[in-house]
Amino acid sequence: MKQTIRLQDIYSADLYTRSRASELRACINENANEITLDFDGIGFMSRSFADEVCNIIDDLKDKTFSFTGQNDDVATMMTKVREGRSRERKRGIGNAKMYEFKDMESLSKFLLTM
Amino acid sequence: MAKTVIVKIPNVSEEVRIGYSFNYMIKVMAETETADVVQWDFADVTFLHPFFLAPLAIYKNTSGKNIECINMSLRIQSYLNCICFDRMLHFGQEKREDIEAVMQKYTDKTYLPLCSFSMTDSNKDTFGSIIKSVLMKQANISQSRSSSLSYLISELLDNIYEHSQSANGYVFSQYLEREGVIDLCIADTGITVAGCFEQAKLYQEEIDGKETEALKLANEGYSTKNRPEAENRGYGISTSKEMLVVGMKGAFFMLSGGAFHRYENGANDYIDLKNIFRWHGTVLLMRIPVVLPKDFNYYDYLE
Repeated sequence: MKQTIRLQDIYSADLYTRSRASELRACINENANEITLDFDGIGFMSRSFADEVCNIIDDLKDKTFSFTGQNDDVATMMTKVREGRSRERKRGIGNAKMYEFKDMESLSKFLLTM
Repeated sequence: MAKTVIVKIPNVSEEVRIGYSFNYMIKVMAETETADVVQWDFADVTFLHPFFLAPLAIYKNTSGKNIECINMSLRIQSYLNCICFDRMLHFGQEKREDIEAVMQKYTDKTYLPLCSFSMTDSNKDTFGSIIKSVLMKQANISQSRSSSLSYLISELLDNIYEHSQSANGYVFSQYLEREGVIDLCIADTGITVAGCFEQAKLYQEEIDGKETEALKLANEGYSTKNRPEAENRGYGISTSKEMLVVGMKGAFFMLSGGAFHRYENGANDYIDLKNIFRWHGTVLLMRIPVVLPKDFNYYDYLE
């Protein structure tokens, strides 16, 4: 059984938060095995939202998912997040400096140089 | 009878370096912490820098202290009334159109008033999306250049929704036309970054009781909520900062509990404030350039 979920019917044009993405789970028909997520009318999808969509897809391995109606931003975000999840995370070597101040006077001297 | 302490509010103009704002903000709040009944004396004030004003207002509205503002000029009083300094706008379960109707009034202003918003599910996307739309209109940002602004707002709001356990979040912004920047403040009064790691019982050896170490871990992308099979979380802060500072040439500051982080113009500092002042929650302050560098590509910062 096929199911198409039109995201604009559930959300506004901007998909911002992870917890709102998790609401998609409840929209998926348990008898459907081919799910199409229709992004038509969606202008922006956050990284968090995209990552949660990936969680749903990974959790529902008995179903196949496809996307339609994505603009460039939405399509690129989904691709980047999916790629990122399958490779080891690399962090840049930071040049962070740590400071500790005993009193307001010494802290002030530092802050006033910023 | 409780002792009244008078705290002098300094004039923090838009011309001063950002460090002055933080210096005065911490000083004023540290002095205010010493008493239950406080008068903030505005006699010297002709301008209030957004990075000074926003945390001050949030502190005033959430600290539970009896703070009276005295000796304000009419001009300052009028500005503070406009930005809802004493009485923030609050958004809870309203419908999208009702929130839009309130915020619509600010599209031809240069500021977003101080807003608090409850962490309820139904309005999570709505509030961030409306804030973005208002900021775009204020600073005349076209749809094609709005993705980076959407990215910053969505990731940093989502971060406090996911981690802070705060009842409310807070937002304030001021568009500084001459500087070509939006100064945006997003804050909460939740469990702090260090508190979040502590509650999850993660990275406690690395943190070793130091809030600056916890803040550094969060800023480097270490999360308390990864899935067992993938390191899929913790991108929100780290990627937002890189996009804002390295790509857009903006500035990023974060105060959480007794730790302060500065990331701008080659500086990457973590400052331990524990002996001086604690913010009961987390404050993010971002200087967002309206005109982006020619070589900035939004997609380069997506991971």
